[in-house]
Amino acid sequence: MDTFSLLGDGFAQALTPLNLLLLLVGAVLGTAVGVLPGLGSAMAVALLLPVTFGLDPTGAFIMFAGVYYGGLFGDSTAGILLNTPGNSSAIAGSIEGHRMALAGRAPQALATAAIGAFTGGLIATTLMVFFAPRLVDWAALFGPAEYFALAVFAFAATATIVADSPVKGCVSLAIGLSLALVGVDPTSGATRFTLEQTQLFDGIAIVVITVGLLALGEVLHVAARGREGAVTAPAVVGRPWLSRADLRLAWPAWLRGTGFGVPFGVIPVGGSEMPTFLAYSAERRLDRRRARPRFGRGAIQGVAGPEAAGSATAGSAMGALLALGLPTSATAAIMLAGFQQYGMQPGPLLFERNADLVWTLLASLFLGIVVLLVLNLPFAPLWAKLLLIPRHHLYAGITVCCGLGVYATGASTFDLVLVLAIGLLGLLMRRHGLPLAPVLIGVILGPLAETELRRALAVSEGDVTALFDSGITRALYGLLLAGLVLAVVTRLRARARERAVDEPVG
Amino acid sequence: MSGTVEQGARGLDDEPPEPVLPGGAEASAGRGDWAVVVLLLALGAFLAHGTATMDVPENSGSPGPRFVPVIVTVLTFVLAALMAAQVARATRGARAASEPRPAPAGEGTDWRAVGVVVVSFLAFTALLSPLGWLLSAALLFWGTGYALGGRRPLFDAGVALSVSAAFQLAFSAGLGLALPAGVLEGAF
Repeated sequence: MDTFSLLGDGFAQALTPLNLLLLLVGAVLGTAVGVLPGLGSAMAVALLLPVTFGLDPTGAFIMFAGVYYGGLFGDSTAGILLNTPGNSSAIAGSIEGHRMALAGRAPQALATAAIGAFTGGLIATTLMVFFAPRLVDWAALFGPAEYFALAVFAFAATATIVADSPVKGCVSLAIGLSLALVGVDPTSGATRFTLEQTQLFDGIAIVVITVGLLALGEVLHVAARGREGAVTAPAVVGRPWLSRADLRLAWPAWLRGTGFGVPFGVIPVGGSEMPTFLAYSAERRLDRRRARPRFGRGAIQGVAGPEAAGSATAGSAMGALLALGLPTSATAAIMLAGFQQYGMQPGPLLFERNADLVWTLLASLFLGIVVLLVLNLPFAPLWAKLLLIPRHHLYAGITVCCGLGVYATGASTFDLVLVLAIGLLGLLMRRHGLPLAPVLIGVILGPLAETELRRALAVSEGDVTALFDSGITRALYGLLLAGLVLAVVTRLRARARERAVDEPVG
Repeated sequence: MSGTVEQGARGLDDEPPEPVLPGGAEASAGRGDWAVVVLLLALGAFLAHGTATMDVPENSGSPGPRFVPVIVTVLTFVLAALMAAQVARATRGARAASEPRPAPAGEGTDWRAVGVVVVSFLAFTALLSPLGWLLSAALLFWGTGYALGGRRPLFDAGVALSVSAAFQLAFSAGLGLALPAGVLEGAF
């Protein structure tokens, strides 16, 4: 019952006219950035971070809640209508969603995505409200060795299991870890890889890296590709009503998707890429048992499952960030930077020191989901109109936003040069098919992994076995090993099949 | 994150869907990927040099500040070797099969457009304090638009000025954050 009263207080704090306005503005801006091709919720939060600097913490985080979910919703709109998902989390839902749009069922696809995101987000946030205090208790069981194991798990999972070519995944991870090493070492005070530049003593800001890699890198990539790839949206006609047959197919998929999504928000495997694809392939497998499989022709379950999974992951990722202080996705990492801006450190202590803020934020997550459903269910086709802006103006606007976002966070021209350099790195990585997610995970969790590793080894006086000494660490490494074996087996099988297909031809 | 796009799909489903996505990545190393090997070697050399010349404070415990950089340096060189092996295999495979392979990633790149964006961004950075946000951001907008195929200079200049003015207004008036006013200081 305690939870209810705390959450009630949170709602009371959040439900002021000004906060609702901030939430609405955040939701609109977040959706707008999310709809833009190539940009997703991580970018929405990074670009709009400076906008929140003028606000008090409560207002800022309420706006973040709007931006966060807005980016998610907008991203799936763009994915369905144009097949241009901005975050990897929107890809799985776009596959069938875009087919539905091509078949003239765009309003239904958009409605399925919006309601799916609503359901997933609502269930995940509810679970978080009740389990976040318990997560805090668990966090107390985690020592340096356990945190290090968790970070290693995240590195290996994003670099090898999620990416297609493990070597390329690890290359990206190494780049991310190197970027994270720049700056003054917090443990010993040694300056590392700063090239004697005082501006680098604090390290490279996460906003600079995200904006450079994701936004500026995308602009440069579009410039490099030349004229190809102009986007044309299929017409969206009709009302977003789902027929009874649609609903019968969609609602179990929404729930299954949520089931896939919730656990993945708590473990750091690089966001919602895994759960959305797991939901997608589960729906596909279920569909194959039917007399007339629908996948490939625009199956509504193929939209419902992944969208619910993505949003559920986003919801529980917020819980993990607040309760454990552990950023499990790029978006969460930027929000962590937002917390640190106000001198707050998410984690178990946050619940003691800033309890009112935590509950207000949780309440505003609920409000954010509702506001977005209202904004998206009737108006999704309107959002797609954003894409009628000429392409060169669109990307010019994004570039100006990059400049603004980076300059506004630090007011330093040095950061602007740095963001350009990282943008060029992003271009190179895109050209050579190096995945971007492992870089971000390396940058985000690299410092945590280093501190905890050195702490664990200092305590054990250099005895490496201390890293594998507890049940939690063994379970994590065991899970990792099992995942790697599974990934290798699947890949070998796929290769064998490819060969079997290739051989008869020549 | 379009780079990771098709890759996730492939690993997880036995009949890979082929979503048509912008900037989709090639699955494994191709001949054009020597650039990645060079990048890794350069990164490894930088890390090794930085680690070797690092000033380690007297009282830093063990493991010290060099511990993790050494691990990352070794990882970088190992990956460079693995990558080089993959690229070499791909090159040899292409030669043996002597069939037209997909063009290496470097080809078909509009370097001129990339150059214009880079120069615009550098100009923006240099001119931000002396000229002020309004003019330098308008220049950045115009330059990027031009690089991406905008061919109505006067109209685009109007759009650029309106956009940067809108940002300045929203930030200064709406949120109370100051963007550099530059030469136009006092004009408002």
